Amino acid sequence: MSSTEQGTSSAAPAEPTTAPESAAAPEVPESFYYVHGKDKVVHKVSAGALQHSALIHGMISNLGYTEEQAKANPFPFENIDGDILQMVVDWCNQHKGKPTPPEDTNLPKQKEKLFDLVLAVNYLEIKELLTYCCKQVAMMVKGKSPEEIREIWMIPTDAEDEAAEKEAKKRAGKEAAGETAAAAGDAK
Amino acid sequence: MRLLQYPRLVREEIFSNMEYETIFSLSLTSRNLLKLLKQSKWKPIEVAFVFDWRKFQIHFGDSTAPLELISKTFDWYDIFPYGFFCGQQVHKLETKGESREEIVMRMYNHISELFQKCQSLTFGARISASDTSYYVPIPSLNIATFKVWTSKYLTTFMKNHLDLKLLVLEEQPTKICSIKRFREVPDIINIRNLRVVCFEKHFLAYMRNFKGVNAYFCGPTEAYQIRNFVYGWLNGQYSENLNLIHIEQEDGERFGPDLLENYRQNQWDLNKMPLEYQLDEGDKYYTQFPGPFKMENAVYVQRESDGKILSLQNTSRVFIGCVWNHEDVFKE
Repeated sequence: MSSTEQGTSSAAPAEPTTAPESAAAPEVPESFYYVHGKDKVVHKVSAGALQHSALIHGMISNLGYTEEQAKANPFPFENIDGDILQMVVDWCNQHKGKPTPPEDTNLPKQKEKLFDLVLAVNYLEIKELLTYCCKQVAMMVKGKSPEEIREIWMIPTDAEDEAAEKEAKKRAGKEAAGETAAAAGDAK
Repeated sequence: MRLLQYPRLVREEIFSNMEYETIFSLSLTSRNLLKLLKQSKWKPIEVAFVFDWRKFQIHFGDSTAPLELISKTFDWYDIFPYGFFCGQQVHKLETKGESREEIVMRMYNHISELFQKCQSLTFGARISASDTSYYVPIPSLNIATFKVWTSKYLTTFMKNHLDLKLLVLEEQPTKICSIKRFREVPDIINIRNLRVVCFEKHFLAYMRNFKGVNAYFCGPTEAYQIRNFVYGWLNGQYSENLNLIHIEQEDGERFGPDLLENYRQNQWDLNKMPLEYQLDEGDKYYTQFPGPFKMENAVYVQRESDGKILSLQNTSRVFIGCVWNHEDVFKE
């Protein structure tokens, strides 16, 4: 098991700024959860970091797992590649309990990685990271010509769209014919 | 990266981070993309068509702004009828032998479709060529800017563009252009908002024929001309619809501190009278100075015939006259 744990110290709960230091509430030990992606590599993440994900936050908010229960029941995200999940976990850890900056320059530059990251972040409902990613995706085509945009975002031409539509219709027709034939065979 | 594989909300978020120029380029990639983009709700946009000698341009933003201030334009040249030049790039376009007029209309229809869910889509045209035959009539035109014109042409133009909300006339200084016909004033300027940069003719020449609501002038203006305007307004010489006149001195010129001395006996009393003058909501977009105009140090005159009030204010650079209904100023 690999872990992305950011040290073992617990994050101190936010205190009212007016409270005197001597009256500070005792630190509550931070709880941790476990997630894994398609590659089954398990990542240990604090509940504080996971708050960025509306999906996971909703899942864990009423669980009340003990450390052992959490370890035994990692959340599976089979639709997310391991390296992408690692990126997401790293981002959540880096921005745990901090206000998110207006820009994030640490996003992947390779377009396929960014594409997968956007899908993962959208699925996990991490709003701020999704905003950064979408900005980055938009920046990829800034000032480009239609032809360059087509290449970067793999946009089919009208002719390709028409051909694909024809092909889909043909396939649907064949499938319908096959179903009719099968139904007729069953009837016999 | 396949953009079309993203969920709709993600695509919308990406589009919302793009400049209109890139959205326009993206919309030219395929009909399917145009279909997707036109579902988005866009913020207010102004689209400018610029007509010049054997070319036209499209840009997004203030259609009245000088072209040298526009960072990105899509330029179509009659001698290269295969696409738009945009900076160093060529945006190829399948033209099927269409004429320039047909390309302009195709782009107008394309942009109208692309931004059909926009809160406010404004079309502006800047006619820069001295030969006005280079202009291709834009339907639903809201703003028109002319550098050169004839009275006859402007009259026909206004008749053909009933949606026009703002007419901008940019007189050329004499040293650059001395052809008299370029400075003719149409007999009737029946456009709600007028903006004129005057050099050859002063603002009164335009005001006499202006039948609209708000008028903005920039150019050398003498104190006697302001006095003539006030006198003319008191005698009902100007448009009944007139709400605001805003005059800005040309660089280097100044109004004297005694410009409104003749009217000082009617000082605007801020304890009893309105503190500021507001333009109609619909006009704010089409004016260079949308207000509100604070009434500090204002004076006023009252017209006997209908009781209307004209408030007068000036700084060394600007004169502002606002027309009020009597009951809006002297509330019981």
